[in-house]
Amino acid sequence: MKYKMEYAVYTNRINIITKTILPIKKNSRITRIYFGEEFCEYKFPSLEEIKEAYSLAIKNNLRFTLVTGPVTNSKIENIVSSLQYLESQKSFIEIIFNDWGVFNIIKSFSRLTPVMGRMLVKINRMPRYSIHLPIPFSYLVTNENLWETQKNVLKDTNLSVEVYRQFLKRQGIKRIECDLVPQGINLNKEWGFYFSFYTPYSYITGGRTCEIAGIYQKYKSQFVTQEKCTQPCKNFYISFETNGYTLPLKQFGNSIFFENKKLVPVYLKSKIFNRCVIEFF
Amino acid sequence: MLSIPLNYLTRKSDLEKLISLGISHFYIGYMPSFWYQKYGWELSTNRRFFPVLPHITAETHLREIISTAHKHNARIFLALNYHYYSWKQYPFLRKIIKLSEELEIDGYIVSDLALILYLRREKINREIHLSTCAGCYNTQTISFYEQFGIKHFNLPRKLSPGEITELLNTTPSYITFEILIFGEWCKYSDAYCFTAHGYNRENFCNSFFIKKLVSKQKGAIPEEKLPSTAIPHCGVCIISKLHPYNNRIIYKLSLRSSDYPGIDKTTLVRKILKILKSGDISAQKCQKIMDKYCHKKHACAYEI
Repeated sequence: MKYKMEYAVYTNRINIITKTILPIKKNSRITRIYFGEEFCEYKFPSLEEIKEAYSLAIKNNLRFTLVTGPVTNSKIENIVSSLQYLESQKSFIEIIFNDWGVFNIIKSFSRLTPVMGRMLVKINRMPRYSIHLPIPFSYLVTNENLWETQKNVLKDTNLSVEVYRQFLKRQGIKRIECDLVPQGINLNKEWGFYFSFYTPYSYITGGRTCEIAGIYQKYKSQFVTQEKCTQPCKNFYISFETNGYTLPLKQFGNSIFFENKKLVPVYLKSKIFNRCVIEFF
Repeated sequence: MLSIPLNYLTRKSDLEKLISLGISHFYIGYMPSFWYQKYGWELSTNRRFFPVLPHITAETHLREIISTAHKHNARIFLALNYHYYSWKQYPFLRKIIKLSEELEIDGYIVSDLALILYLRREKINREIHLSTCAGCYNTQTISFYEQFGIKHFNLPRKLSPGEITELLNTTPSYITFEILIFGEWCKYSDAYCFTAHGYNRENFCNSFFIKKLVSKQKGAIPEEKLPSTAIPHCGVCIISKLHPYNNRIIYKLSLRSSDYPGIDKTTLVRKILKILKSGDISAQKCQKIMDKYCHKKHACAYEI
């Protein structure tokens, strides 16, 4: 397979696309728009927004990728209606899935190309350990090279398991999204997949207990996002003061990321990835 | 039905006592020395990263636990639910699986799809229960995993009672679920938490970072303040909402000995069994029975 780097712009906000479509078009290296939401089902764009984003992409000769995340039953219909619309466009459109249930739905659409999302590539992100070496708990452990052994495994993913790769191929999955991680990631060109990476943020953790949603939910003892979320994350994010203990951390919505710009040159040299996805949160 | 973890401290007599109370469903993590000598405790076989205590570490202990359970018609499931395993670890996993098969373990709790595929390829047809760490949020996910013969799903800890009921109503009656009702709810979602646990004796979620709320409007200083998040430990009241489905639900206790020094496991189990046997019971009644074990004042997991 020949590798040539493709660049894509990713956002979950339609106003970012409408404001930046012309500069994006002028930059001949950017050939694709990623639109959607990976982390919070309440922020998944409306059908109207998806139609508008797709229309802008096509008018400006850009390819289109819809990004989806884990969803409960109440939000599945939103995804289905989006997929139905995109299927009707009679053009091969990528759909990123981070939930095997959503994949189950994508399978039934013949013109939609499933792409495995980075939340399903469950490698340990280790933002604390790019700067300081981790100290394993060596109680009863006599392996003098414990950290080196662990690091070797921490670079791997379950993509190293052949039966799993065969399964993914049978499902028509040809592209896999990844996060850049400080310890490095072992991917192999011979596996027969294309790989994308995201910058400037790698996802670390998150979930439905959302502190930012909790700003206006003071009556609750924990802040599980519900239907009534007013999405204060549109107006705020969280920055972390870690005194250089970790790579810089930020929380957008319900998810925490680390800045991975410093890792990009190393990964680019490896020529494993052929798509760079530039995030605008 | 209740599901209870067993660990390094579980003696044969403890297990027999729990069985005599009516518990017939248990789960364990197995960390033999050939594993932790190679990979340490942080790269666990399961989702517990503390040395020794949360696991069964000796083969003799494993044999005793399984044979005692089977003698009394109880079932034991082995948690192999780390998010993923590298192919490098599979020779060691194979040893664990081979021993478990020999001892006729009742099934495996798995999160990694690669491991599920591997087990089925190796013609291991025992029950596989989908772990919380796989992230089963919707009916389509259940449908996806059914193709591998999975019929029992550990649900994510952040689903509301309404969302759990929705899953019960939209799946066939042979699909069963396991729901946490007592133990520590992680701050983040298990299935999508990719932090490395255990290093430096500190988890990412417990690290002391100063967080600052920042406005996306340049120059604006937010007046709003970040809330302080409480970590729930109890959600027993959900039984009051889900009791019509009790025949399809196993309620799970996740009791790490280190976290609950003041809790008498037997007393806790007796209280929850009393609630289960009550049938149609209100949340207030649940709280009254739970008494000092009720966390209503601090953090109720399901906000009932």
